[in-house]
Amino acid sequence: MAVAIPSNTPRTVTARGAPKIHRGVALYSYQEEYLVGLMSLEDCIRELSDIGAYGVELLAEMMVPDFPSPSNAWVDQWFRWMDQYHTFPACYTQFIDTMRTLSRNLNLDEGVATMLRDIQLAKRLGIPKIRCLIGTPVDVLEAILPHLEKHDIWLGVELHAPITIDGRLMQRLIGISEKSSHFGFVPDFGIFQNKPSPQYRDRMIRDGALTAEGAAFLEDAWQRGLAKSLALDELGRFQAGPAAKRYAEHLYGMIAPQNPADMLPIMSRCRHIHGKTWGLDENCVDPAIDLSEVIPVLIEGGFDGTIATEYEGQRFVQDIEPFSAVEMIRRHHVMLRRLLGEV
Amino acid sequence: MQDPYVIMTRGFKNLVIDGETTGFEVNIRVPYYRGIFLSSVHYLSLKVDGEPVAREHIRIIVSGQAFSLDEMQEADHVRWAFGASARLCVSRVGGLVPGVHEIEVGIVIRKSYFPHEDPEHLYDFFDLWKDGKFTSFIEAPNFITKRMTLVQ
Repeated sequence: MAVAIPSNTPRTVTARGAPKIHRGVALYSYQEEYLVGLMSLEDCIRELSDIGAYGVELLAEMMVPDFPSPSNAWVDQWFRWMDQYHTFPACYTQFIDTMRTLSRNLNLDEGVATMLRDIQLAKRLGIPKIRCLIGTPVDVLEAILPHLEKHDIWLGVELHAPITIDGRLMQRLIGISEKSSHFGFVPDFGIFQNKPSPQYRDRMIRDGALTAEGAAFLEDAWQRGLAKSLALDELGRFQAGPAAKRYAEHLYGMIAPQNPADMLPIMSRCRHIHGKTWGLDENCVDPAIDLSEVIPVLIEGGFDGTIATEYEGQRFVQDIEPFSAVEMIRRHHVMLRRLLGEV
Repeated sequence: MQDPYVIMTRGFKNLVIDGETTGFEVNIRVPYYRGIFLSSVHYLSLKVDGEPVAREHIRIIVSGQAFSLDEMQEADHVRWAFGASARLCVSRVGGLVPGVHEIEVGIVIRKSYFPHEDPEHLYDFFDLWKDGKFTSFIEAPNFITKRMTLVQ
């Protein structure tokens, strides 16, 4: 008996009252599997299709052969994969190196040239959006606006912890975004981290950098709102481990969950999101980043774009559980499906 | 993250020119999740069996082009692709004796993701501003060690 082959799966996720939120994955997440050859780019795309994460965020400098100038045959193959697996090119992960050599800094012309190189490759690959780093020089961002308009490419600066929406940098960038509809922001869900990541902490403990006792004291102090300086003073009472201070800096410096509602005024300028996670438990709950109040704000604000999972836990669990990305990204998408009202 | 995959056993061999063993070769991958300009290698050092190799005795070959380490640090138009091997060729009369050797590679890829100056005082985080001075963040060297066998 013939097995029924499912017809094309719709690309648009219909969530309650918000038909424009797509699920996707930043292929950064599969870096370990890809490096050792466990997964090819086609395997990654097929996996995205299998979990309904149709939005592909490509890290070109990882996966495009002969970057930045792949052959036409490869580009044709890319488009065939998109058709075959019903995926779509959602975003291009972009980088800029501000120090060209040990002694020479990137100048404005080189910054613009780097951006143009990536705009042209994104264009060739049919990718409509580019994510750039939070530290991309503002003069480069301002100079690139007319090119974005001309090529009809949208550029989003990653809004990444510990940057806050009301901080000086974001306020400056929001000013730039008012000059062009082709410029905006890519919020990273790390800005909503509300608890320590057990993967990060446990790796420090396994590496002998931190003791369980030191970690417990610092997390309790941080949770109670004890001032960092007092927590550091009291650390001396413990065998806290050689990097306990670094863990304190991490807790106090990086975990400051922002109010999801703060996204509302800039929502129309956010057209892509990094769904940051360091791993989820078997109930598909993320112990460090609670999105239960974030996704409703995206829906309320009419977010129009892709939430691309960015799994960063591989660097922490590699020593005990290498090649964890496929499983953890699946769990993240169960969580997203629940929050988006798909299940 | 890529540390376990940086030093390759494959390609570890003596270099023989006109019947004479002039040195040895170790292959490495970029310790990062993307390809880079060769000039982004901020620091590179090599030890064999605990003994440092002089910087001027090392050549790095990427995409068929050879560079001294000084030249490498200026090579801002040469790409070292993700996953691709770079050959570290070491001048050493007689090469290495067959058997197990300990190779240590010290390497830093420069992640210069912030502007080199901040006149508008926008980047007030990660301790980029310290004691009234702005400095972009640079990571400390990372030393990776592997014991592996050279046959000839």
